[in-house]
Amino acid sequence: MSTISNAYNKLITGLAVLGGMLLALIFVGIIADVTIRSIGFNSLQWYSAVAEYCLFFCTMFGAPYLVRHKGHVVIESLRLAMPPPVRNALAKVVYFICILLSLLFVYYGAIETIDAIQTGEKDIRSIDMPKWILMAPFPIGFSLIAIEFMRYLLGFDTYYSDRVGGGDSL
Amino acid sequence: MEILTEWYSIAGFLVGMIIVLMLLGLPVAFAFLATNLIGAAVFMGDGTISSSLEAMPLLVSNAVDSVTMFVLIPVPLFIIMGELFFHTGLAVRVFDALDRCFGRLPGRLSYITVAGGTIFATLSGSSMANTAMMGSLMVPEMTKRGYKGHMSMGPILGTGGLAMIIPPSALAVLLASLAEIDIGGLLIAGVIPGLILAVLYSILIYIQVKLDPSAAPEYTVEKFTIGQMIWSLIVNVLPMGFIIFCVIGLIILGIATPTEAAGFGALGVLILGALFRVLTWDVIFKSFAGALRVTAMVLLIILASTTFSQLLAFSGASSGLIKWATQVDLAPLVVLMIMFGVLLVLGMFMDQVSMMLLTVPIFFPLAESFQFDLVWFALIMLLALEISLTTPPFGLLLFVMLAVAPKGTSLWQVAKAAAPYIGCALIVLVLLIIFPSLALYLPSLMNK
Repeated sequence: MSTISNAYNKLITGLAVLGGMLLALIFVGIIADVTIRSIGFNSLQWYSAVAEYCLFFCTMFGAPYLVRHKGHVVIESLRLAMPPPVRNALAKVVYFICILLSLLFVYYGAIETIDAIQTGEKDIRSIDMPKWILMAPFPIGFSLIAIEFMRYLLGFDTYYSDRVGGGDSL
Repeated sequence: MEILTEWYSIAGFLVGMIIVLMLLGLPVAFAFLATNLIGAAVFMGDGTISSSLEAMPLLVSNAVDSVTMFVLIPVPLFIIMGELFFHTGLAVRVFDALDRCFGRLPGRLSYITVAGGTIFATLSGSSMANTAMMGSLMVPEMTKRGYKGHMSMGPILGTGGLAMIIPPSALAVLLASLAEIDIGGLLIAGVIPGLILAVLYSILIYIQVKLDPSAAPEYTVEKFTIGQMIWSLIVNVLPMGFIIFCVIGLIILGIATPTEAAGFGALGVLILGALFRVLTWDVIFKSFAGALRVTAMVLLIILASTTFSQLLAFSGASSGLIKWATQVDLAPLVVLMIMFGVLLVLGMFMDQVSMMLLTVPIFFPLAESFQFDLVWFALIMLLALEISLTTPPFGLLLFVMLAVAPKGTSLWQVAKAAAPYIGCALIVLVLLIIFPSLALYLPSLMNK
C-alpha cells in the first residue's frame, strides 16, 4: 500500500515539476523567438502553438499539486463564522461537489480525447497538432484532482487548515 | 425557471450562485465550474440534469480553448520575473542602498518603504509578493525603532498595491487580455498615475510625522558621505533600470510586443542575478516553483470562468444590463462610480482575479456603450482592484500584512493603517476623471 502511495505522491510532485519545466520552456522559447527574428531570420513558427499548449499543460499538471498543498484560492470568511461541527460538515459537502465536478470533467474529457484519436482531428494553430495531444491532460489532471479531494473527504487532511488569507494571488 | 426571463433575475441568479458557492468555501475555480454546469442547463437546455450533461462537451472544449491563448503568456513570465527578483536577493540590495540615502529624515523608514516599494512595483508584477517581502523586511525594523503601527504597516500596504498599477503588472496584462484591449497601452498608462500615487504617499507620511512626531521616533543612523550614497545607488539601484528597460523600453521602442517584453524582463533579472553572483540553481528552482503555483491557480480560474462570461452573454444578462443602463439616462460618471463601488464591495470578500473574471464581461461592454476610453477605464478598474485589496474585512493584503505584523496586531489595526492610503488612491481616481490624459498621454506617444 505504501509503495502505491509513494508512487502516487511522486506522480503528483513529478507532474508539478514537469509543469515548472514547461514554464521554463515558454520563457526560453520566447527569448529564442525574438532573438532569431531580430537578427533577421524567420520567426519560430511552431513556438506560439507550443507555448499555448504549455500554458494548458502547466495548469493541468500543477492543479493536483495545488489541491494537495491547498493552493487554490478559497474564501473562508463565512466558514470561520460557523461553529466547528457545521464547518466540518460543510467541508465534506464541498469536497464531494469538487469530486463530482472533477469526475464529470474526467468522463467528458476522456470522451473528447478518444473521439479526437478516432477521428484523427487536428487542432489548427500556427502548426497543426493532433487534437488528442491537447485534450489528454484534461481528464488526467481532473482525475488526479478528484483523487486529491477524495483524500480530504476521507479525512486524511483538511483543505482549510493552516491557511492565511486567500493564499497566492497576483 | 420561468422567473429567469429578465436580465436582472438572470444576472442575479448567475452572479449570486457564484458568490454563494464561494462563501460556502468552494475553491473559486470550482465555484465557477459548478455555476457553468447549472447555468448551461438552465439557459442552454430545459433545466434538467440531462440537459446539463448535454452541455458538458461544450464546457470541456471551452475550458481547453480559454487557457490556450497566446495573450496569457505574459502572466507566467511576469510572475517568474518577480519570483527571481525576490529569491535572488536583488530586492534587499535596493532597500540597503536606499537606507543609506535617507539620513536622519523624520519618518525615514516609512519613506524608504515608499521609495523601495515603488521600485519593487516596477520590477515585480505581484502585489502579494511585494507586500510580503516589504512586510517581512521592514516591519521588524520599524517596530524595533519604535514606529507606531500606522507608520509601519500603512506605507507597506499602500505601496504593495502599486505593483498592480505600475508596469509591469501581471494583473494589468490579464485585465487587458480579458477585455481585449491594448496590453502595451494599459501597461504604460499606469506609469504616471502610479508615480503620482507614490508622491501622495510621501506627502501623507510627511503630514503624519508632523502631526505626531512620536509615531516615528528619530534614531541615530550611520553617516555616509555623498560619494558613498551615490556609489551605493549606482551599484544597487541603477542596474535595476536595465530590467525596467527590458520591459517598458522594449515595448516603447517597438522591438518587442508586451508578451515578448515580459520574457525579456525575466531574462534581465537572470542576467543581473548572474552579474551580482546571486544566481544559483536553488534560486531558479524556487522561482519556477513559485511561478507554477500562482500560474496554475490563476489559469485554472480562467479556465473555469471563461464559460461563465459566455453564459452571461448567451443568457441575455450582459446585453440587458447595457440596454437598461443606456435607457435610464444615467450620467456616465454615475455609471463609473457604480462600477467602482461594485468592485470595492466585491473586493471585501473576493480575490482580484475572480473579481476581474466576474465583472469584465459586464463592465467593458457597458463602458464601451458610454464611450469611455477603454484603456483609461481599465486603469480605473485596476485602481479599484488595488483599493479593494486593502478593504476590510477581507482584503487579501490585510491578511498578508497580518501574517508578518508583530504578534497581537489585530486586523482592525492593519485596516486603520491602510485607510489614509486608500484616501490617496481615491485622490488619484478623482485626478484621473478630471484629467484623463494622466493615463492616456504615454500610450498616445506609443501609438505615434
